[in-house]
Amino acid sequence: MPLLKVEKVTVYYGKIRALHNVSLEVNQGEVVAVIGRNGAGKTTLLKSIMGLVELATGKISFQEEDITPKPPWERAYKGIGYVPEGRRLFPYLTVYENLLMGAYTIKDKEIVKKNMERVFRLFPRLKERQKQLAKTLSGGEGEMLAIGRGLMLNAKLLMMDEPSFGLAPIIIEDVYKTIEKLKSEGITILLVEQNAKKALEVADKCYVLDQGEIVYAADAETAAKDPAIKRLYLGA
Amino acid sequence: MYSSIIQELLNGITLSAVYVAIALGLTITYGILKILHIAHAGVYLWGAYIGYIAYVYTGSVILSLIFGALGAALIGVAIERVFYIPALDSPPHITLIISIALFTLLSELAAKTFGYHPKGFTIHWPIYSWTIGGVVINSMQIFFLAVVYSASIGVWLWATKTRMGLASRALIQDIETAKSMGVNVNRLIDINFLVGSALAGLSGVLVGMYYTIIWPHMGDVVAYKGLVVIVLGGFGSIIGAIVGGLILGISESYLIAYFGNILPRDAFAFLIMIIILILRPQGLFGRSE
Repeated sequence: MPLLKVEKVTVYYGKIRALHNVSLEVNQGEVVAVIGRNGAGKTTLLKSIMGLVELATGKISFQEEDITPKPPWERAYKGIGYVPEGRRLFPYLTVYENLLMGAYTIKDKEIVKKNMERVFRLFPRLKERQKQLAKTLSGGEGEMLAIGRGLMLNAKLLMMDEPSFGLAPIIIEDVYKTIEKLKSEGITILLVEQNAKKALEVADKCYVLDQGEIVYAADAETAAKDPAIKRLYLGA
Repeated sequence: MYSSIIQELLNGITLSAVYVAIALGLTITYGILKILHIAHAGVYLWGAYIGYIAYVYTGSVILSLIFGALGAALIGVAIERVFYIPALDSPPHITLIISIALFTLLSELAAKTFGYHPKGFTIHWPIYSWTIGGVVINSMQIFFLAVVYSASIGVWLWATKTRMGLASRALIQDIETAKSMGVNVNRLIDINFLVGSALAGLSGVLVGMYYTIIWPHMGDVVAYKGLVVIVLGGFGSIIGAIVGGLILGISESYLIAYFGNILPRDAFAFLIMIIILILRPQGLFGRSE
């Protein structure tokens, strides 16, 4: 049974339809990639799972529980970690405080400490810079902090919105190595990317979103070989 | 000469107490909703009246302070929920007008309910007075300073050192991301208004007790000086509100003592603000972005 189930979700921004009848499933331990062009509705999809946009129709279930009526903060308590588009760090909080905010749902200080150590092991640079304001970080460090912050709540599902956005190719490699590592630790990931090539390398399953609709779904290996996907999204 | 300098410093710190408390409340409410909460001075005023009534009925200074703070807290949250939250997507001038209207309403409502004339608010505590090296201080002043400053320090610690304070600062910077981290933003906005308004109410009661008088327009001076202080401190800066309040009160007190015959006393507040803004347009602790 799927960890996350999105069923026939439609979202409007005013009169503009951002998502239409979108359904997808993410199983425990899987890395699922949603690829698509800019403006295809990828960010809206993650926001609707997080509860940050209102659904016109449809249903979202997490661990077989209907979470559609729940506000975002309650969804965070269920274990949905979110690494938003453009990182969205709290610029005037320190690196350490940003990570603490990621663990806002956890009351037990020991667990918070343990998670913090885990993030610092994953990203030693963040440990060095823990007292700095987040706004002073470079793009790559900022992405690490955003991912670390998403992990702090013991995420059962980690949603990542364009982790490669605005980063130099060498930093993108680093970020994707981290995602590989998280995958090997068994963390379930829903990854949204314009950089389809990188996303398909790490993903188990792939959906293509176009103009707010799912137009293609397959396992990642098949997708990477599909001539149409190659031509439209992999630039081959 | 020396003793008069110390005396004016003490007077300045006393004057500052209310500025600091009001500016702190304004800072956390402004920070969280980005609304210039002029009606905060109305909350202060009603805190004073509620405290006064509690004192008349119970004869207890402590209960008077508690009721004043609680009553103000409830009024503050009611304003936030009924008027501010529904208007949150409006442009800033709309919420500013709403806030000014609410302040006028609260002042006039106090006048209609309790009468336009001032009410004497003399508590039964005996007042002891000491002269130390030519500087005069009395027990009421010590009580006033102790309560206002410890409450202000408490709010400051709450805003800077606790988990809830951290979440409030995060919320101020990015409301959507704070939500997705598990922050119940509606509740946190309520709590910020609750804390800020309770501090205003407490100050209102203490000012009434200290000056032994309350009147329906006692909020007016507080309304504009509160603004002066947060502009001085740099909008939204907690430490700026505290330092701004102290600078305003102390310099006002010296200017009045030595140049009081040149300008009316409340003009000094704006003079100080104008001078500081010429030197530092972003305020003392503002972020120049």
